[in-house]
Amino acid sequence: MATTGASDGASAAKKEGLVTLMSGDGEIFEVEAAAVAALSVTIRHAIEEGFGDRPIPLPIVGARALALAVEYCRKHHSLGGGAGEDSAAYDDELRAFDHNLAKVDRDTLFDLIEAANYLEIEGLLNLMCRTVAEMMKGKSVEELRRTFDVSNDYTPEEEEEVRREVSWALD
Amino acid sequence: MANIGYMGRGSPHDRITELPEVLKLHILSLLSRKDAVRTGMLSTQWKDLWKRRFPYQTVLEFGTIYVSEDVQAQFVRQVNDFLVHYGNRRIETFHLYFNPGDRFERNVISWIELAVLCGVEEFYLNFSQGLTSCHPDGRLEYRRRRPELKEKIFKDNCLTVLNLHYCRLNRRFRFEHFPFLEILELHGVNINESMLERAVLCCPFLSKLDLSECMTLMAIKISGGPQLRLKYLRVVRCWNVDLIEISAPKLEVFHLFSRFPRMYLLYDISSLADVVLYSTVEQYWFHPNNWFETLSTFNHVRVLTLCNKAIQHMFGPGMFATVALPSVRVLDLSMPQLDDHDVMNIYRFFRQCYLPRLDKLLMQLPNSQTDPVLQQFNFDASREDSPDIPYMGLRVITISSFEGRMHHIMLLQFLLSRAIALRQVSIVLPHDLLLYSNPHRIINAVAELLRRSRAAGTATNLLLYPSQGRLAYFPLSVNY
Repeated sequence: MATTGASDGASAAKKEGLVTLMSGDGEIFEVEAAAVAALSVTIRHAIEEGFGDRPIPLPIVGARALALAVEYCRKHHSLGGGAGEDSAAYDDELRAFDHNLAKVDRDTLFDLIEAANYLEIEGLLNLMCRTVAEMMKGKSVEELRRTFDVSNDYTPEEEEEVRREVSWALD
Repeated sequence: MANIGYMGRGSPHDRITELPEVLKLHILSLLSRKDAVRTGMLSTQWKDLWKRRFPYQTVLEFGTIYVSEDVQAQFVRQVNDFLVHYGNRRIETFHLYFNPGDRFERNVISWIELAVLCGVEEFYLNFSQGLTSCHPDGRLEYRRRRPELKEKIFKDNCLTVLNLHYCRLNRRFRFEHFPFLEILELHGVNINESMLERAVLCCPFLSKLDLSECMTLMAIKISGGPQLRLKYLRVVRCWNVDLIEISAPKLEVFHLFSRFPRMYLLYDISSLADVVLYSTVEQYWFHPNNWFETLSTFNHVRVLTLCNKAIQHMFGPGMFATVALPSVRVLDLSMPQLDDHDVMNIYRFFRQCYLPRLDKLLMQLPNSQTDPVLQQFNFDASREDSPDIPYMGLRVITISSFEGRMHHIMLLQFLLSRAIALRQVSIVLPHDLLLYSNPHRIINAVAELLRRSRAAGTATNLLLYPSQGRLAYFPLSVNY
């Protein structure tokens, strides 16, 4: 795995090699330190604080989400040089990768949002939030409740009051 | 990706509400204003969340009263400075009230371009700054030019509302770049027939169209198939429109406050429920028109508002046919003038229009000083029956500006003699009636009329209100 060009990973780049991550459900991941440190602020800080040779515990991140997040970091590190999606290097291959990643089922989608938020992987967080926003676009309130299993806990009076306020946005 | 395996959180779970607030706000900030606002209905935890989705103001309002050219220049500097500091953050709504003249037109165009770039969804651009001509003709003061807008400055916009006052659209403006537009409001804009047709054709989500003082408009032609979403059409003081042609199956509201066109061609108006036909100018009504035929297409209209001239136009030069208005529940007759002819026309209206569902009649009377105020009321039994006018199932009558003039009493007497199922009669007296008349005489006359009416004995309520501006009033007298 190419590790050159990690612009903001100066300290991490010195620690070439592997770093061990432990998911909330106890699974161990051996990953390239440079790749994850370049994209995940949380892991970069953990490495800087000397977690390099011990497993880094990630209590709220599940194994499946962690695997996907790591894959995202690898891909973006190798192809995009860690830069944001505005960079010219953000080419078709990365776009296709992101596009595929966004097709995960709904629970994984939210696992990934939480993981990206915890690991502070900005690109992944944006990608997943955009995916959720895309799912919300143009849907009626009922469709939204069905899509996301939101249960309506308004009393009829409260609901009427809110409905009045937002009525212009309902049709 | 989906083959990696499901983590198994059990039954469906409201994951989106469980997200930390900062992430919910982030997601909301990626939505259009309308989509975001709608989430407020989801559950108590989403109530008002959308209001905080941007940590900064996204509704920008710029405007100033015209004082002098120096103040104009200062205003332009302030707006420029503000927008430079605003950077490329999101703008949702952009209001402008400013007349750029020749000197600042370039600046104003650049503000519009910037707002479009920042994703503006609602534009309210008024270029008059109060410097309008004295006439309701959509023009500015003598020698003041309305700025010209080219379509390219709106390229790639997310606009849902476009509200323009006092500007010109470039002659190549073809409404090709408004894929999300829902509301188009034009006041004093040089739109013409073909531009309007383009707008309706090219904006798939257009649901509301409001045209005021567009003097270049000679005809309004709105035609679209079942995919046309137009629900609301209002035309105000577009004096030159002589033809209105509508084929809009979803159109619910059509309000016309203008000079009446010579011709209406209404094809597919099966949803039309609320119609106002109100002429605001003196106009000759004796030329041939197709009003009466038009009325017969109002099969589903539930609320119909007509002014005295509309009734005149309907009957035109001798029209003796009858017409059915089978769905009308509420009839609002606005009489800015009430002379013998108008009273006769109202009788004619009820004689020739079949109104089986009419429930509520609202009537706004004028205060025509030429009509003598009733002094001594004598009930005229010979007027009681007008056998050629059918009885009506009307239950509520409200008459405003009732001054007890001769024509007012005549009308009331007529209505009471035909409405046999009345539940309530509300009569609003003008607040200054005391100055020139004796209200008790009028009250007594009205009570006398009611006592003798066909509805007497049923649960008819007479409510007399002295009006006070637009406030609500207590009844002056409930018993009769």
